[in-house]
Amino acid sequence: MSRQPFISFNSVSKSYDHDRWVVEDLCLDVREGEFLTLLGPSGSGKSTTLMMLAGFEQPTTGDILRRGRSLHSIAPHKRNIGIVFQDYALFPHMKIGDNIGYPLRMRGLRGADVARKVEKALDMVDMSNLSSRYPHQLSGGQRQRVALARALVFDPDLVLLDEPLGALDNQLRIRMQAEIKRLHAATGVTFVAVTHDQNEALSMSDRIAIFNNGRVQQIDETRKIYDQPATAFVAQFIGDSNILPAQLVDHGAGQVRVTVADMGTLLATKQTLTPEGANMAVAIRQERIVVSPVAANCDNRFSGQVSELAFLGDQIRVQIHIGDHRINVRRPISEFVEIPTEGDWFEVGWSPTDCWVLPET
Amino acid sequence: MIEAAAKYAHSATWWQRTKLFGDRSNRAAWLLLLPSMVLVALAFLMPLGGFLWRAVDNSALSRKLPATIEAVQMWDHRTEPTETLAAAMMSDLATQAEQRGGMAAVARELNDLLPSFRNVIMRTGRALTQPPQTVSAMEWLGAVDQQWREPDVWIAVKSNDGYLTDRYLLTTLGLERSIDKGLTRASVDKRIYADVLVRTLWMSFVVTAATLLLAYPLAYALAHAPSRWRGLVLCAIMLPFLTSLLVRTLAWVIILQKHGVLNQLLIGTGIAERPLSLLYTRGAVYLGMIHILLPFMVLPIRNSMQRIPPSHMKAALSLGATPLRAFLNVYLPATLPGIGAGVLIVGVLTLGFYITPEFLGGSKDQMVSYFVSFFTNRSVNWGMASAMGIWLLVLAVALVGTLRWLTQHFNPERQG
Ligand SMILES: Nc1ncnc2c1ncn2[C@@H]1O[C@H](COP(=O)(O)OP(=O)(O)OP(=O)(O)O)[C@@H](O)[C@H]1O
Ligand SMILES: [Mg+2]
Repeated sequence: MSRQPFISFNSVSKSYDHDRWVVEDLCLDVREGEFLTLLGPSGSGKSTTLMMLAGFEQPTTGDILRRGRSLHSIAPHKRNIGIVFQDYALFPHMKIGDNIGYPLRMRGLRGADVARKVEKALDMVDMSNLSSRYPHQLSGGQRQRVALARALVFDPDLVLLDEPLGALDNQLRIRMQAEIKRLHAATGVTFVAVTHDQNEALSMSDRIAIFNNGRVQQIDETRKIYDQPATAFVAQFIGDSNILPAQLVDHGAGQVRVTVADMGTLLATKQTLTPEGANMAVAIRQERIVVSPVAANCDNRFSGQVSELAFLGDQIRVQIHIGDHRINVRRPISEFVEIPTEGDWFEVGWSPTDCWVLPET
Repeated sequence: MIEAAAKYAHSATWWQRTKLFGDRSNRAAWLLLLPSMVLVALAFLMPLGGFLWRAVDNSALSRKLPATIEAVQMWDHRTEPTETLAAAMMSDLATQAEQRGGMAAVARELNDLLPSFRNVIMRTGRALTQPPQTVSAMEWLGAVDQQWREPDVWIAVKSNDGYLTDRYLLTTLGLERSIDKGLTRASVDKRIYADVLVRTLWMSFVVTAATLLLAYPLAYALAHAPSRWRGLVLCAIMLPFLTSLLVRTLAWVIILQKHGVLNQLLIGTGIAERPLSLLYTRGAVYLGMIHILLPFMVLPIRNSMQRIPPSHMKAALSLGATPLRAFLNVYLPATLPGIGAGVLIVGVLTLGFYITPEFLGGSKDQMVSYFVSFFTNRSVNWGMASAMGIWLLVLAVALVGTLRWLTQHFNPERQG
């Protein structure tokens, strides 16, 4: 017996204006209990996907299944899905306790039952003493916790988070990432989150689905997305890679030679799973490029003029011009014998194993 | 640099110490406000105060009939009117007769106390031109008009011998004060003003409630409909704003009159056999008022609807609320400030409506403002006009107060 996926998108497409696909031919399985993040640039259709799952938008074609049964005719309020909105959507005229108790009351619970569950939920997010406040009396981080508690209190089958940390400052965001991950582990509920922040995706998710222009570029375990990007777009979006359009010289897998306009021939690695195609690119991670004098030992070695220089605390990012290409390099300060200035000639290099041949998209 | 900063700090404390005016910017703000405050005081508060004062002002009587007022105070109203009273009255009337319009003024004041007494005064005034001989004052007055012998007029003067009076305010409530200061119900013909007050309240309530019920879905359409419809609806609602109140009311006259548009339509389609009397009915007044006031209700409600983030309704639904409950629990409460503002504006406006009931309604559909106008323009009874005006003001203030109380108690965001 093949196990039914928990949620599956079956070739789902969505268009608002019958002109442009916002989501195109989406095939995606959500596994029970996992933390899946939909990651992609603005306008790539992540929120639309989430809203279709919640029932607020209907797919134009295709179907969404839960345990093999179509969700099509199930109204949003019957889907038992908790949602954390970017603006939290706490009801301003209800106290925190009433906000969290709302889904319970909608399910027919009353009095002490509600109070007990609300208290437990507030405990879970460390907010026990704020039950009688109103939302506008809370800080952004506290509101975020309340929204989480409200989305979890009624034992939903699924929790959706649309840019849950978008409105928080950096420090708080990092704290809340850990908090959300902890809640996911503690409850065992399936989480599907949307973000355009790669660090958020990397730190919270079990799996990541990379969206671009309404299509899923890759869906994989978090490590795999990072270590084995399927396309140049993924490599660029996760882990800050330099992308150079390239032409294959050798065919086959393993170490291959490619030519890049203005730069000549490079040695690169081609994974067997990458298909043969006309539009290929090489992707090199910023932090895998080494600088002179170490660069002198590399198989791929290039010199260019420094066009930008940025200090990132313990690291330096150098941008150099090689032909028409701009190559970004990020290395610890300690590796620089001499810190270049803008306009200097500077040598960089990378090993063939850090230089992947990938289809462009 | 440091010195300058220290100087600046010093000057700041200096300004702060002059608590009298607050700091410099505060004083400038007051100066900027001054002209508008003066304008409000001169053009609004003073005339309003002057007008309202007339509801309790009784000084005219003591100015016109000083001797009589003094004499009635000595007189026991359970006894026959005395010669002293008559003499005092004659001397007062003689003084007034020498002044232009003096007798008319006395006639107006006494007629107000005792209906039909105007004629008595005017007749007495004419008789005074041939000065009386030998006979006693009471006999002479009695000869001119029998009513001088009755105690009524003297009792009326005696019970209104102060500088202030509550008789106008009592009359508007359908009450009277008898000579022994007890309150009694007024005679039937004077009781209509209390009915007018109740009617005004009721009509305001009906119009406000109906406007609210019509405006809510309209506002919803305006706030959420696809944008191509929105412009059309907004135009239809705002169009009445561009024409004057009078024109809009007259348009309804044209539509509703006996051989007007609506009746022709009803007869033409065979719904009615003969013209219906639509005009000069309560229904016509309601129709006109609701039509005129609708925009005042729609706009604030639409405003509050547009401010509801779409995520709130989605959140309610995702938490398991049916669409109806989501509306009642989340959407409706969020529009309460808009409803409050709309009800306030429409409520206060309906209380003071004048033109529309006057043109579209019958005599039983007139509201307080009609009588304010009637008393000022036609019967020139400033006391009654002002007393009606006071109730108008009281009702409006009560409405504002109630709504304020409601918003403060049911809108947590306004607290704290
Ligand atoms: N209700 C709507 N009507 C019409 N177009 C819409 C609607 N909602 C979204 N779109 C369009 O669909 C596209 C995808 O929107 P979506 O909100 O799914 O993107 P997203 O990936 O969530 O982006 P972001 O990171 O900016 O939130 C956008 O081009 C947007 O303009
Ligand atoms: Mg979005």
